[in-house]
Amino acid sequence: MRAPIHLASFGCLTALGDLPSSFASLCAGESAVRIGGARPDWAPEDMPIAMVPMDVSAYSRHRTFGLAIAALDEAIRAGMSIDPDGLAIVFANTTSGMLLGETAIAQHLAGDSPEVPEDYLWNHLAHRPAEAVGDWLGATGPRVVVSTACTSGTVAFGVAADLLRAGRCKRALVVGSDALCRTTLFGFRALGAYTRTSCRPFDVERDGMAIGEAAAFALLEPGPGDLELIGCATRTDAFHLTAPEPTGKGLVRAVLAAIAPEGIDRGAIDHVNAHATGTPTNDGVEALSIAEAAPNAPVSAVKGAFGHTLGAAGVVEAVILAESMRRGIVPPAVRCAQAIPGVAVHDQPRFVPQRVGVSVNLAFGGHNAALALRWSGTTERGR
Amino acid sequence: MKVSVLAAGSLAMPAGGQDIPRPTRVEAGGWRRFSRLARLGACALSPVLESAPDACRSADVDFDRDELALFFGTGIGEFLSSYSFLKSLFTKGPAMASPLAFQNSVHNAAPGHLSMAFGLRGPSETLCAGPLTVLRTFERAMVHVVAHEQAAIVLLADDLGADSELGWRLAGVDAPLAEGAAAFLIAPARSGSPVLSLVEARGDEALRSPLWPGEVDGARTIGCAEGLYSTAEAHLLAQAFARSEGLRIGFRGERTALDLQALP
Repeated sequence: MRAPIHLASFGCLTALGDLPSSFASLCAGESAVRIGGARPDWAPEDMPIAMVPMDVSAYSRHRTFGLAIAALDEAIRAGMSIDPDGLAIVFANTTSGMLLGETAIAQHLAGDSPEVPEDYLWNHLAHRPAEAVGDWLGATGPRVVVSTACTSGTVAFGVAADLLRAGRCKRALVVGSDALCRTTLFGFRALGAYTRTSCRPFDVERDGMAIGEAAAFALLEPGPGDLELIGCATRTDAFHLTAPEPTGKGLVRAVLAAIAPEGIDRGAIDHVNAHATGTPTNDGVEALSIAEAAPNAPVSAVKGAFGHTLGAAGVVEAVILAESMRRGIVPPAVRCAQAIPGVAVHDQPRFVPQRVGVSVNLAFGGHNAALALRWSGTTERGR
Repeated sequence: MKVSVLAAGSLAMPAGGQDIPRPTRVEAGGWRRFSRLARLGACALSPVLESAPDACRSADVDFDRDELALFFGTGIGEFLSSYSFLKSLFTKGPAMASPLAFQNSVHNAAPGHLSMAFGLRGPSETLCAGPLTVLRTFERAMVHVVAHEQAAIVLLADDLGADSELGWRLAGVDAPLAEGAAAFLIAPARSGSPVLSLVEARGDEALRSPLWPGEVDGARTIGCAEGLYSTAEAHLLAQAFARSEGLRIGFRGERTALDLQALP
C-alpha cells in the first residue's frame, strides 16, 4: 500500500470569485464567459472571454504570477497556514510572463527597443512563476513548473505526490495560474477552435472554446486525511498534435491508471469532472472515453462558467471537484442546453454523495491526464 | 536515490540556426512540422530508442512503448515558436496569424511530435525549472522509475536562434550560446551498468552551470558545451556515459548534485 497523501487546503480565484463564490455561482448556472464586459484593451469585443475582475498588479507586474499570489494571499488572510520549510512548489502554467513579453516583442518588431529588455525573453521563461510564488512564500523545497499545455494542472498533482512520497519535500503546494494574453486568444482563433457564441460544453450545438483566466492551489501533505489524492496518471495518443485520437482510448488508459494504485473499479467512480472545452471534436471524443472509463458516474463540466483556463485548468477543476465531494454536490454543466447523447450532465446541481471523484484534462501533444480523489469525511450537504 | 543508465545520446551544436540532420526514423512530412526544439530532441532520442529494446532486455526490464514514460525538460521551451507566432500576428494581423507556430508554441509540443514519430504512448510530462531544469527533470524521472520499477526516458533540449539570442543579450547574458539535446534511458538501479545518483553535494564539490562561469567560486569548471543553458549538464552526462567516466555536476543555488558513475 502506498503512503497516503491528502489535500490539507485548497482554493481558487476565478472570474466568478474565490472558491465559495465560484462554487455557488457555478451551481446557480452563472457564467463569466461573455462578449463585451471586463477585458484587456487589446482583446477584441467580439471574442467571449472570462476575466478575473481584480487588479493584481500589487503582487506582481506579471498578471499570471499576481493571480496566483492573490489567490494564496486571500486564503492565508482567511486563516490558511503554509509552512515554507521543505515546501515544494509545483506550478502548472502555459504562458508565464508572456503578456508583457508580447509587448516587448511588438516593440522590437516595430523597430523600437523593448521598454523592459528582460520582458523580451527572460521574464517569460516557463520557470518564472514557480520562482515568484516560491519567493513570496519563502519556500525552501524544490520548485518546478509543469507545462504540458491544458493538462499541466492535473500532471502537477502527480509530480507533487511523487516528490512527497520519495521524501524530496515535506509538503507540496500545487499551483495553477494563467492570465489572458494575445498568444492564446489569437492562437486558438487561428486554429479555428474559438467559439463565435459562447463556450457550451457537451451541448449538441457547441461551436468552440472560450478562454478564461484563473489561479488555484492545493496544499498536499503526507498522511491520511478526509480528502486524499489516490492517483494521478498521464497517457499519450501519439496520433495528432492538436486533435484527440478518435476512439478516446488514451484518456481511458489515463483514468484507469489513476485509480489502479488503490484497486478501485471503474464502476466505483462517483463523479467525473470532464475537460469539456466546448469544441466539437474534443467533447465528442471525451464523451466516448468517459462512458467507457466511468460508466456510472455523473459528469460535471465547468468551462461554460469559468472559460478554459489553460495551464490552470487542471488545478481549478481539481479544486472544484474537491469542493463538490466535500459538499456532496455535482455542479451543472453551465450553458449546456441539450447534451450530446450518453453524457450524464445536467442543468441543475445534484446532491450526490461522492467517495471517489475523477478529474480529467486533454492537451496539445496528444496528452491525456487524470487524477482521482477519495473523500472519507462528513459530507457538508447543502452548505 | 539511484537509477541505472541503460543508454544515452546527445547533440550539441556550437551555434544556433544550423541545419539539424533528420534521423531516418522520422518521416520527412512530420519533420517539416517539428519545431526546432523537437528536431533537436529527435536527434538525441532516436539512437536511444534504437538501442532501448536490447538494453532493456539485457537489464531485465520491460520495454513497452504504451507504458514507457517520457520526461521532457527544457529551460527555454518553445520561445522560437512563440516568437514566430507573434511575428505573424503583429506583422500580418490576426487573420494571418500562424496556426502551425501557435500549436508548436506550447512547451510540450516537442514531446507531442516525438510521441507520434516514435510511437510513444505512455506517460509524458514537460518540466521547466530554469537553470535547474536538468536536476529537476532527472529528480522527477528517478522518483517515477523507483516508484514504478519501470524504465523511463529523460529528454533535455534547449534551442537557439537569432531571435532568442537577442533575448539573452537583452537580459544581460554575455556568455557563449549554443543549443543541443540529450536523452537517457534509465531504469531501476542494478549492478553492471552506470549508475546515476542524486546526492547532496558538499562545498566545492558542487560544480555550477557553465552559463554563469563567474559564479563557480574556484570549483572545477566544465570545459565544453557552454551556453546550452540547462541542457549543458545533460550533454555532459551523456558524454560521460559514452566514455564510461564518472562525473558530478552541482547546480546553482542548491546543494543537490547529479552524479554519474560508471560502476563495475
